[in-house]
Amino acid sequence: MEPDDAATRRRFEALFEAHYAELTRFAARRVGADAAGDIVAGTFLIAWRRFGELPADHTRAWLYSTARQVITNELRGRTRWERLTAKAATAGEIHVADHASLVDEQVRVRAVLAELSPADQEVLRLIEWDGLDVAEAALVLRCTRTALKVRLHRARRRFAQRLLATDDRCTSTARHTRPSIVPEGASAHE
Amino acid sequence: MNDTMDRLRAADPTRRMTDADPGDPPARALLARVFAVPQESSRRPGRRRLVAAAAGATVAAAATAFFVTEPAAAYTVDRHADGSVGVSFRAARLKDTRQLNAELARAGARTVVIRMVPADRCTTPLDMDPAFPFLTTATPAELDRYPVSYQLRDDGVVITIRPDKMPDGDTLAFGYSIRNDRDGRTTIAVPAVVRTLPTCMAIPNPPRR
Repeated sequence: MEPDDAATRRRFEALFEAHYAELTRFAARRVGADAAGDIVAGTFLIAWRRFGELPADHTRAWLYSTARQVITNELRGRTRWERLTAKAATAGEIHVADHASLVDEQVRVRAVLAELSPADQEVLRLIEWDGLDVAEAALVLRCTRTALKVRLHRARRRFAQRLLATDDRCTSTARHTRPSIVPEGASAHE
Repeated sequence: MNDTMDRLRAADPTRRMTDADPGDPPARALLARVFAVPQESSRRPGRRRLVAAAAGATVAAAATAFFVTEPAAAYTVDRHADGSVGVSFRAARLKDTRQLNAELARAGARTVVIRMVPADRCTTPLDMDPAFPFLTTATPAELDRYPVSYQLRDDGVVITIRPDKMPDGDTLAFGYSIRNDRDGRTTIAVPAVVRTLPTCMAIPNPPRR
């Protein structure tokens, strides 16, 4: 192996180790844990092929953007996308089946998210689940930071409105349990 | 608003997922597969590429591009002693797939090559055999289960079809299309194991990079 090749591989390996876990989560949120490995593999393959073009200051955003395209490319159609998204959305139930109220809350929150437009869903996922900042999310969605802020604000507002409307419906028919982030003993409606 | 965002964060489906370890054997195996793929800068001039947007057997190829062997003829079909069939073709010269498909039928490949069309002209979903989905895990055992594979050789990629790995009644629908982009001409390939032969196949969305 040429010295340059070895150095390139070492640098790529460092990138792989730095982003493997978070990219796996990113993919699992969108296609489920079972299929996430394929998306991660496809993304790192592209990253390796185009390693020389990766932006050093926004590597994570580049990887996420590429992963989104790998998902789109692989799924090749909304039907399959929805099937896998549904699978991903229900995955949490399996792992926390012994916490019925928590499951109920999470399923309901995800259902509300799923009711939003794909654009609203994605901006919320990127910021609230994937933990990107505005600059990174703007790169992933290929828009300006200003546009991203506007989209995020509107998406948050629409999500909150729908979720609260769902809460109202639930409290009228059944006792409402808040998620585990509310300390025990706290009121369900502060 | 903050409260609803807290609730959204709490509903993250991966919240209870253990962090994937890049040091685990599957991760290292993935890295080894990645390193086996040539980098773009090492692409040989004058070659065409094959992008396999592909079945599970080609996970490694699913989102990347390879050079495809360019035969002097529009295509080559070689039946091997073990029953497998090796195929290479020059998409740009493949004006009519009938001869190639007749050749594949003679070779017992149980494969039909179809030129793909834009998605809006082909909205019927493929009747895929659920045993061979597009997305699978990429363990060697699972890769070996699929009836189509790609082999990187010095002179390009050779597509190998294993008809014996297809259930009775199944067919390998091998869609292809040509895309001209800034990287030059790319042949996109979508091999799908189907229960019913489709009348058309849709071009997958290209990754925007």
